[in-house]
Amino acid sequence: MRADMNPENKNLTPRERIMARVRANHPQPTAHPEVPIYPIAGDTLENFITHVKGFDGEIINTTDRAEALRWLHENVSTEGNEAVFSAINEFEGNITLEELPRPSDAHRLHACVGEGLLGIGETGSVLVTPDTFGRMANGLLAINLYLLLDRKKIVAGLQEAYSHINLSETQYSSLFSGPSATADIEAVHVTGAQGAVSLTVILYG
Amino acid sequence: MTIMSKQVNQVKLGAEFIADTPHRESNDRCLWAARMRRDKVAATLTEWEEMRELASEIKKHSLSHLDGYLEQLEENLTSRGISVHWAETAQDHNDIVLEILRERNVATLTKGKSMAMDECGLREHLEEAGIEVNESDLGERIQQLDNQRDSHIVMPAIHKLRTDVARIFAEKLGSDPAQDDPKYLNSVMRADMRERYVKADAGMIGCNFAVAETGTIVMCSNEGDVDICATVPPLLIVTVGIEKIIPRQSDLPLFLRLLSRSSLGYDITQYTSHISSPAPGQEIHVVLLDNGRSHRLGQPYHEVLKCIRCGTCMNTCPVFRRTSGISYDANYMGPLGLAIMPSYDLHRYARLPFSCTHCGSCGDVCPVKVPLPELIFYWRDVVVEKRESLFTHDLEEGLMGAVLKNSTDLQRAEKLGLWALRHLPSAVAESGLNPWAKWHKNPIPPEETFREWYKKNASDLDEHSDK
Amino acid sequence: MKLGFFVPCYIDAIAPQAAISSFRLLRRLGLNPEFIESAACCGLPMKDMGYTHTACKVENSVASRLAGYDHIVMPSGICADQFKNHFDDLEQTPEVMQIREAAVDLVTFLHDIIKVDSLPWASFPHRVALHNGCHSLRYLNEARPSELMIPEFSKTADLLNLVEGIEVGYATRRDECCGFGGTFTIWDQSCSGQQGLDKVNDYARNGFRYVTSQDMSCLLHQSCVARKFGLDIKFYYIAEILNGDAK
Repeated sequence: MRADMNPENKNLTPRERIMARVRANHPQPTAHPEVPIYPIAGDTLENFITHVKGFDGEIINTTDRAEALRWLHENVSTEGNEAVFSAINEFEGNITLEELPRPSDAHRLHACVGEGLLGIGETGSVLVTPDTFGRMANGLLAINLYLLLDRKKIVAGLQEAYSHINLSETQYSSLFSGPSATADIEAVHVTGAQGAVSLTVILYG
Repeated sequence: MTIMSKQVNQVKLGAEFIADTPHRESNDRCLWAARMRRDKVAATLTEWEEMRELASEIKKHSLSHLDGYLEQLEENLTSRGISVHWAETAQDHNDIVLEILRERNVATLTKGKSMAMDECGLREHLEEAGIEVNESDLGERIQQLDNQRDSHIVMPAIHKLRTDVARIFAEKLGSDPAQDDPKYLNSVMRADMRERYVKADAGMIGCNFAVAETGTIVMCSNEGDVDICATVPPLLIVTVGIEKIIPRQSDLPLFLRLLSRSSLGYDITQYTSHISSPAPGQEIHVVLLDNGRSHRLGQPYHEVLKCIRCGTCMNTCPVFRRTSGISYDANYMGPLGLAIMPSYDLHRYARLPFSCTHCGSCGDVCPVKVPLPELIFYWRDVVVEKRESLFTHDLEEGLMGAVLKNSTDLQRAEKLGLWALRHLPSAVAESGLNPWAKWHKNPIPPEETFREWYKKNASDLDEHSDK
Repeated sequence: MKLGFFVPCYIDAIAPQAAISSFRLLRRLGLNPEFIESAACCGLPMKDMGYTHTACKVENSVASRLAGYDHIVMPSGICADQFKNHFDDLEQTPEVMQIREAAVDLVTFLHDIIKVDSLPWASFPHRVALHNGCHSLRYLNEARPSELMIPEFSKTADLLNLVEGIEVGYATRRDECCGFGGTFTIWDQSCSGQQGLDKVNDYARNGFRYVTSQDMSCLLHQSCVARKFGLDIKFYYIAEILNGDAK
């Protein structure tokens, strides 16, 4: 056996030893199967709405983007003391990223407003990235989340969704399916675990 | 001489849990409900069984080409500024993590749930080194505060009642001991953790999948805590068991479609997140953990490495639901524990493979078709072969082997047993001498055995035969 | 068709009625089963405890007595599973392979091989809970296990539904294990007992006074638990109902 292939060789780095052992112990090689794209039953938009609600999210139906923005202006108050961050040009929050120098400062946020990149009918998920919220922490620590979403950007299923995502070129991305939740105590479902307590998806287009 | 670890007696620990009716009933009810939800959502997908097969094949493929995929993952991660470390053992893993933390003067950190880190005893290691570790998953946090192992890989405190949690939170977090509403207890956790996230110098998480093709760490969680650990502090450490690799991005949705549906019976987890590079100003370290995995790869039970840690085998296991995960006193419990723990410490876990009725349910719910029933049988053989068995076991074997080999002896043994059934007074037959009697009446002895009946009736029957 | 009839040890000694009804039923269906008197244990208890070596000795011993039958019918799913699926530790001689092929549980034999479609002599005008034994269900495919998302089928229910007046139903936890588990019931009496109690309580809650199964070992365990806890439930091996012996 070559020295660099012997997993017991103490002169090798841990990486080399692990790799040598992996190579020596590989099971019989098998092929990577082809995975078909499975059709998703039902209407995509209806599925999306049902699933968002099923995950305790809220759905606001508006006709176009202007109406969606009007809804935001009427329902998300930036007048009071509660901090509202917005990553949308047409809706101004009352706090800026400069006023939140560290990611952890996002714990001050009462609300965060952003635009979802993609919706998934199968699961009621909305694709978000740090840009959606100005910074990822804002979307995680804010108590209430408002996500605009263009109906045309809702795809039927998870498999289709991943054909639109380029993971290697996206620093961080996440599928948000309703607000955070837990069932760790006697399996009692509680909405609002450690991330957002509410998530509202405002559909337009 | 090696020091033998103390053998875990799951039966004894399980009997204690069984005797505690409120806890047993709650544990069983919660987990069975998860199993029922799983059945319901899985039934909505006509491709369910085909997906299980494909997921199994993809895992088999990745495990049989693991070297290449590990290299690809490492290359992709490092090319985007993520530091990759290789840990051969649990000790190496803990040393690597501690060194990273010390170099950056980390005093306090928040940690998402990670079975791989638990396997290494990382939290205890860091706490001994004076670092404050705050578990961020609610169930895991409850267990940390109660200084007890997890009882389930997905729901670590599911064996506890709300009253237990109220008591622990009152003692450790100063909450109102009279309030045991899960909503209230969750709010106590939320408020307490918020402060800890703010002051954390580092975050640590495990991973559900590592995509080789894109160099992406994928995390699936419900509470949002994992994402907070991963994005809020300036330093992130991710532990990735080397078996977590899947080859391609296009494989990921297949596994995601199976994971949460199997685990808790929901279509997806609230958060499904992907990290491919550090955020501006953030530092990310990935520790690739071996700790015996590369050895297991070459063993007859290597298919256990396909496991995606959904916990559905635990939800369905009739023994697990009644005895709780605590009774296994192991990092991995339930059917998965039976199939993998002996590979960590054969002596300590020699009894585990026998804590199974062989009902086969775990094998049929497993989303990646780990042949759990077969692996459990495999380990029984190994335990016996390595003489890890127990005295009573040996005695039974000696008697059974001698008696059951041929029908004459068998008939004698049957006669002896029947004589005892018929003639021993129930005061003796159903006394403490017969532990079966705690739960059972003895069978009612028949008038005659089949053989006796056959001898009497065979000729009579022949007359009516159509020969 | 050369038909062997194998009687598992526990059935011979403790539940001979299961074998008697099975034997009579086969006769009634115009078959001529040959009781393999010299055959003994199939090795399952040893296999169950990990004593593969001893199991092999027992298996070899029984195998030598079972050669030459087209089918070896047995009124016991666990034993049929043992022959079919666990005789893989033996040397796979043509004889052993033939026995593994020939071994068949009564239900599979009636449903798949001779395709019974009427039982004019059988009547059981009762609601009866069907308990598909785990081995028959998940290893011998006699019905759809609730875990698998495949088309619904149940060979056991098909056969029972040929009986006049019968109403086949299930416990709420339709196919959860009752906790017998062979040596498990001795190894872990508490868990086995608790599982058994949960199962018989499930029947009682659903108002069942009769229970049937293709696995007599499950029924023995369940009936002993039911009697211990004072539940008035009668347990019949499936052939007792199919042959019209159950009253």
